[in-house]
Amino acid sequence: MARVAGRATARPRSGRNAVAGLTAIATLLRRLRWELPLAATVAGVVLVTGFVFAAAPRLLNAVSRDGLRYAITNAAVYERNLVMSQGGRLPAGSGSDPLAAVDSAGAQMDASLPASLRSVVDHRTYVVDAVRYTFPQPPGGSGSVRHVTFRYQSGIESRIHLVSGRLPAPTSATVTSTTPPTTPIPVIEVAMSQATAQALGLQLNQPAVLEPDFQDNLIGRGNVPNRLAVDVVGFIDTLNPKDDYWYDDQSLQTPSVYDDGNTTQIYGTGLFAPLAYADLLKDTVPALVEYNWRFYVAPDRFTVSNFGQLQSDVKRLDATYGSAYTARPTDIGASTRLADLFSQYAGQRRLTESILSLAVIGLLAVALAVIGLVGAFVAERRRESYALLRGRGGSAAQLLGAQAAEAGLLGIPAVLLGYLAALLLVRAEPTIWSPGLALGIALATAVLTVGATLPYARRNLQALERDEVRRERFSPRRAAFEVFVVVLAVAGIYLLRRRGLAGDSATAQAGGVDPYLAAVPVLLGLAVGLVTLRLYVLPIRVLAWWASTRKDLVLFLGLRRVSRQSLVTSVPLLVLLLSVAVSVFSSVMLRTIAVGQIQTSWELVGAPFRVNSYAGAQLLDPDLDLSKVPGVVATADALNTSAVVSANGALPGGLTTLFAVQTAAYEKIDAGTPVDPHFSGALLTPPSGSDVGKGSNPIPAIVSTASPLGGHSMTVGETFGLQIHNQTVTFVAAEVRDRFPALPSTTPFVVASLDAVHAAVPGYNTERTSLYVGAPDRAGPALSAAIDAQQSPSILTSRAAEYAGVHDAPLVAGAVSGFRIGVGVAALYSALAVVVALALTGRARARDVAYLRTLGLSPLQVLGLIAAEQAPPVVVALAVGTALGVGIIRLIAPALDFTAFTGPDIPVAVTIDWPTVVLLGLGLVVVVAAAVAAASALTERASLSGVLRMGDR
Amino acid sequence: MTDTLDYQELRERAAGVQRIQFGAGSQIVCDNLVKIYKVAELEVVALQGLDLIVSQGEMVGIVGASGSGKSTLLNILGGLDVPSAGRSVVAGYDLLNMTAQDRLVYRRQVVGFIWQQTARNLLPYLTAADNVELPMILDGMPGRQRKERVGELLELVGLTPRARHRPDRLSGGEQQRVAIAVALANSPSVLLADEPTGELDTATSNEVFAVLRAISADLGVTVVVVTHDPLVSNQMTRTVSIRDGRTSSETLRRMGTSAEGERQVIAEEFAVLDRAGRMQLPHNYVDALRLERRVRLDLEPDHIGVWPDRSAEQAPEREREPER
Repeated sequence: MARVAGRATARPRSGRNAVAGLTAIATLLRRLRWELPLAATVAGVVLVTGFVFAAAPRLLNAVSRDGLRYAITNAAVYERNLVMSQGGRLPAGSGSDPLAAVDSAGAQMDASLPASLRSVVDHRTYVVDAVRYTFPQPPGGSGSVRHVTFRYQSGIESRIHLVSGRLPAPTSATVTSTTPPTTPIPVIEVAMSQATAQALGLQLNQPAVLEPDFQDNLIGRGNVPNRLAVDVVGFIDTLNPKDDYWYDDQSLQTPSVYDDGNTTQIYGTGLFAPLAYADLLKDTVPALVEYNWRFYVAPDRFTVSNFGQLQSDVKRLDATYGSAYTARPTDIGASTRLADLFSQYAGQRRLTESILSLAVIGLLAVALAVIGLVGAFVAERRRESYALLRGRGGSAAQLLGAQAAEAGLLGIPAVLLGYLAALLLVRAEPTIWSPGLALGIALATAVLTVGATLPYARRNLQALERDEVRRERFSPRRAAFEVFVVVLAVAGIYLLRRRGLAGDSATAQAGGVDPYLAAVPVLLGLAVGLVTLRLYVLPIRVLAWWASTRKDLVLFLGLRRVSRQSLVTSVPLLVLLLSVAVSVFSSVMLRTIAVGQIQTSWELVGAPFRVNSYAGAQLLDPDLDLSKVPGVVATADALNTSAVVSANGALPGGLTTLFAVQTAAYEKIDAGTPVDPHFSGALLTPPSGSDVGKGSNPIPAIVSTASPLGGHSMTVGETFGLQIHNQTVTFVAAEVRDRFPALPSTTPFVVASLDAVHAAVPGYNTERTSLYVGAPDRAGPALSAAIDAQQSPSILTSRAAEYAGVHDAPLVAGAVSGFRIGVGVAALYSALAVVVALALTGRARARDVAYLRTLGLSPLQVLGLIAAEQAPPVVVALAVGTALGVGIIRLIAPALDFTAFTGPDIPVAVTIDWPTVVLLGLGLVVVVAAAVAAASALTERASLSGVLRMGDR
Repeated sequence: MTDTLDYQELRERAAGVQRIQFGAGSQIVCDNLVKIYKVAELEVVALQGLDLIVSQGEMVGIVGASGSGKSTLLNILGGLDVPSAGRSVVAGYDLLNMTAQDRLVYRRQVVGFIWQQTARNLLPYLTAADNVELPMILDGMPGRQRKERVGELLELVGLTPRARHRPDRLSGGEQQRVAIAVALANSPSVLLADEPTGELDTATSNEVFAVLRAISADLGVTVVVVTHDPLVSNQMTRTVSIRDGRTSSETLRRMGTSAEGERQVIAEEFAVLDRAGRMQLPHNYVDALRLERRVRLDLEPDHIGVWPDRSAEQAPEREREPER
């Protein structure tokens, strides 16, 4: 044996510097190679968590972007696009493009638009409308007044086809008026639709003299032009009237007819030749010409990142030019509904974000708890190493520094990978939240794993070396913390119920989500979890006592082990409870939204299909009969009108909605659906006789809880009158309901039999405003075709389409996907918590089981012991977690606005998704069973002497 | 107790001896050391007024039955545990009044520890050389100095060829020799070993003890070995026996010549008298003379005589009465 030459030479203490610290940390990090499975587990959990929380904001961004584009795409053409207008007299250009100045003015307008708006504009067109003319009114002529507007639209040539005649051209022709003055009147050739020509009484190639329409804004004081003659040289038709190009403006195709009862005003539009623009300018002098530049936006250019700027710029544009539109004709005007669309979209996005934030914060809490749990597991596994290191002079700072470095080494690449996966898999605009949350997960990993190591770095070395379960002493700090969490949760629930999820805090006013209120469900979960941790050992002890009385050794031992577990080993119960609660919460949200969407679609339409007249012409075409359309089961006429209520013969009462429907047919249509009216016999069998609707024979009706009689709530059997067609009809309240399908719940309503109303008001017998159709969803196209075939236009509303409109909207679908992912991820974390829980107590269990095996415990009993030990926390977590998940929604339901996801104005009841809850429970039981079986097998395989380490201490 | 001795004479004799502090100049001093553990609601007195003095460079064995307090003593000496009362000074460090930082420095520089289990001695993911280097790294020793020291120490324990092997590739004896090198890494004044050969066969144990003896003799390192193995304790020149948390006896061994003229180890066992004058009589003595409760002491000029209290036998009825 060689000798060491004396003591080591004195070394400088300055060696204890940063470099020395780093060397120590680097040396300790070599454990990672040795503990690859452990390192891989940590990295895997962090990677998954990093991915989930890096992907979540991108997903929300993608959903928000799709929602924005969906809102733009589905808006009417005049809502989503922009029209700039100005009156003036732009000079005609020479050569083949006399309207070059108009186009150029459009380009200048385009250039003057805010950059954000310019970036979404795809192309523009212009419309030139000359001053409006009117046909001279013959003395003592008929009661109709006919007007003509000369128009040209850029690019129109490719969107019309000539039915007969020819397209207009410049002409120098004149006509002589038959009425003084007899000066030659210049002729402008036009092409128009046959319907317009017919309505205006114009024939092909028969010029008619026109006079300026003094009602036109373009004719100002002293701006009156001379007379003009119009010559229709061709009949045209539009190729696709629904093309965005037409901007929902049908004036070239269809004449507009207005009848005020005395005079019929007919407005028609004729297309003039662009080459005739110079002539038109000359012939309409000095009247102004109206120029409209239409800027068409491309929905796919709208992004979440440019939304804020766009919204602000559009508001500014509205403020600058919106009011000028109706001022002087020479002022520049702007017309768009983008501001309203943006506002509506922003509101829905805020609602989506606020509701999703509940699930995200819950998941984040669970994820962090799982990382902490894994950290605790790792620290527990290294207990001996820590004891050794501290025994050899390792300081707490060195141990914790090595742990922090390890967390960085494992966590940062893991979250980077997670972030990269999120970048690749979720195509969306970049958002700072994505890398921010990923970085946050890495930091949290460091903090949590260092926190989990802290007790091992500071605890008494002797205590560190003990394997046995340590019973926790009462800790005032822990108790104070728990009380603090409970108080925070209770206060949060109170505030949340009072203010709503968005709240009225400064944050919420700024368009965000109040983080405290959004965290209330998690706080509540934490509070319940902490209280459960405190209390759940009590029933377990009772069970253990019961097991001891039954001489059931295995059950007794298992339960005793559970009841003696320390705080650290109880934490998995908290994590499991939280993750079960998040899963159940998400599943209930999903179910509530799904049921709400179906319910709302039925409530909004009132039947599978409903036909309404266009606004302005309330009554439906009397000839409209859809009962013969294939698939139609039944149809029910309905009259939906306002009526004044009189009580006890006194007028005026309040205004109410009278909904009279063919009750029997309506009942047949909606039987078995969510809006089955369940009419009573009195409504199904309307009264008959000549005195129907009189005091002696009132019409039975369903009245709303919101009484039309002001503060007086109507009771069953009470009579009241309604003014219908200048006649008072008496009704009797047969039933009082909160709401009725397709009727707003905020205003009073009266529902009665249409046949009875017709019988009471004979002159009313043909009138109906809507038609309810019972037919399968597939009958939609046939019904649509039948309605289009009618002369007077009607609107077909389909329940399935309403449902699809809400269900398929990206923001709604995104929220639903969010909750679905929430269920899945929380379930995954639950499974992980079960496995870590088993692993965390593995060493102590292995020693106890080994000892019991030496006393003769059989393999089956080992399995039973582990199962008895694992079952109580899992059962408690499942039961309390489920109750918590449901309870949270019930508690905060008043604060949640589901209408963004289900449709407007219809209250949505919280619906528990029991199949999913049961499935989650079963899944967890399977995971636990598998984990218990694996733990049992591993325990069986372990060497008894190795585990017991004979002669150890 | 008979009073045949002249107390005045004894007092005068004692006054002639110069009073010095207990254990002054010793490497390890335990003076009336007490350690009380609290397990659940119970207090367990592991050490109840233990006295111990170990000089620098001495190699001492601590023996005792299970639960006698020997491992507790070792943990206190190693700075892993804190005594409840008394005084314990190791290499000038007062173990009762150390800050956390002092304790860290103490563990790094003053004591080295060798445990029975490899898992408590060596990190499994480091090679033998790395394990030896680790305490130096933790102490912040410069790199070059560390490397030199690792080489020296591995050579000292005869494991230079196995320097790059991880613990799982070393035999039990090799692992314990590496553990000794690790314990010596920061040149401690005191080496503490808790059953260092508990898992080794006799031949390997002898090798390990040879190393420990060499360290004690050549480097002047004080070595304290806890064991309950008589074969191990026989290798020590001094063995302190602990019973019920107190030092009960000491056995000193020296080479001597037997009556037959052979060189052999001569062991003498001494009872330990603590500073309060307490002494534990060996069990076999007590049993042989059926000593119980009270004994009669007689002070003789050069010893103290201990006799059973026969009065108890003579009047058994009277003695037992109060117990009824």
